[in-house]
Amino acid sequence: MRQLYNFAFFDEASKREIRRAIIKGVSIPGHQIPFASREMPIGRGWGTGGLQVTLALIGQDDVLKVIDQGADDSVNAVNIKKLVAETTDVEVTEKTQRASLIQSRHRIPEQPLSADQILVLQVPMPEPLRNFEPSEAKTRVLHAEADYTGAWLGLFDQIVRYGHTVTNADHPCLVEGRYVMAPSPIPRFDTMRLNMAQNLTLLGAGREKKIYAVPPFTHVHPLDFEDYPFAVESFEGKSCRLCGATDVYLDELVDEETGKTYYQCNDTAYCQQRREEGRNE
Amino acid sequence: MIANNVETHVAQRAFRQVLEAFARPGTIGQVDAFPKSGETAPVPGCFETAVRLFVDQAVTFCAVGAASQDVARWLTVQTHAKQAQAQGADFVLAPVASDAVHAEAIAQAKPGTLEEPEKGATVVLLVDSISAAPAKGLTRLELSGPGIEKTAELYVSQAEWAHARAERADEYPCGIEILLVDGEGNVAALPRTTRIENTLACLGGSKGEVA
Repeated sequence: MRQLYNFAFFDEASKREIRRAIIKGVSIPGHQIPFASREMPIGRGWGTGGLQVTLALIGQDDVLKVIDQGADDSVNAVNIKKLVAETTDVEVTEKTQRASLIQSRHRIPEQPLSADQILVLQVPMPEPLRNFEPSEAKTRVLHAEADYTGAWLGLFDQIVRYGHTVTNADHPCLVEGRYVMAPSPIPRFDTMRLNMAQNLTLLGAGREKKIYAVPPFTHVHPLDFEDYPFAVESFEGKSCRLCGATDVYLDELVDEETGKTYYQCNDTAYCQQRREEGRNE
Repeated sequence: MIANNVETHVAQRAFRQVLEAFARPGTIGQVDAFPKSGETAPVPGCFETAVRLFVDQAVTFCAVGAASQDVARWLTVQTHAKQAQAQGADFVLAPVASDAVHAEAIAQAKPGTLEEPEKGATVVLLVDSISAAPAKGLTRLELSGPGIEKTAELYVSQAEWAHARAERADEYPCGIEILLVDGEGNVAALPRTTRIENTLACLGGSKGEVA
């Protein structure tokens, strides 16, 4: 006997709980809204926050894209896509511009998102102050008082030790001049894509039971110092070996036979599209 | 196998419209009534949809205005949500298109705390008309803030709530969210981050310049 699922897996009360949190998140950009995170049929820490947000949003007319570290076909992305597709019958796609809902782990697509797309980011650690303050009660007070000394000192400490900030991903950002926010482990390369974006971005942390948001046309500024300005990863002189792209986030790979290092687009759908369009400069 | 309940899809579409309204203040969305609405509800069907999108037994609500007793009783039966005083309710409902009722709802709604600003209330107001274009009797609101590239315009039949909101002088991040619903199912929203400037009644309206 086959199980009969409600549309989008959840019962309606669960959707309401998540929807209430989403609305408050949008209304207080960058502030983490606690919510009654549900048990999901995938393990906590495997995208349950993003999945819950996606399921609370999705409707019959949506086209869904799920990516994991830039790839549409990695295990995590495929399984989440399957779960949503089987409980909604919505169309899934790998083409960024065709999707109305994009759930992503650790990347924002290279192709700029438009006003009619919603980006859902999976978040492992939503609290940007957790590194130096383990108590949730105390980080709440720090956010209440906009006391972000610890976040600044963390970056200052990295500069003293290494000569530059070493946040490879999840670089803390100031949202609309008020809340310091963890943008999820997106590379620094993607961080500025949140600033004054056309699209709405929703961030879900299932294990940590938090939902937060960056509405469109919202100021997102990575924390930095005047004399140590925020800088993205540099791929100067490197290009994708498949499509030749130079202005994208590249993965560094090693050819097992020759031992030579080569580079490839991290966003597989973007790379594929460039090759289909015959752009191989 | 998927159970496709009609109400599920009505609620989902309504939520996306309301979300869009909150994410881009000034945008007007459209919500439908639930198929069986109107049989028992003492409020317009689309107002019912906007309320029942969010109100259930996990939250508290308060209805203000003339028919508030009927509305509260009906909503309790429908949703099992608990009633609370306006000052303590998560959702404050003004199911009457009246400036006085709107002002009362806005004035009493809780702002949350600096530590828990998300506890600030959501106020749902029934208005006669929401429009993207000027018309006789409508007041023009100029909006700016997150979700708006430069400025956005919104035209509403009742605008006293905007004054009541300004008078609260909530200290961000504390504040309230306002969801406007008209009888045709048009919805518009003002998150606490939205600034309202140049409130101006359209020609032929009952008021002159009011701000």
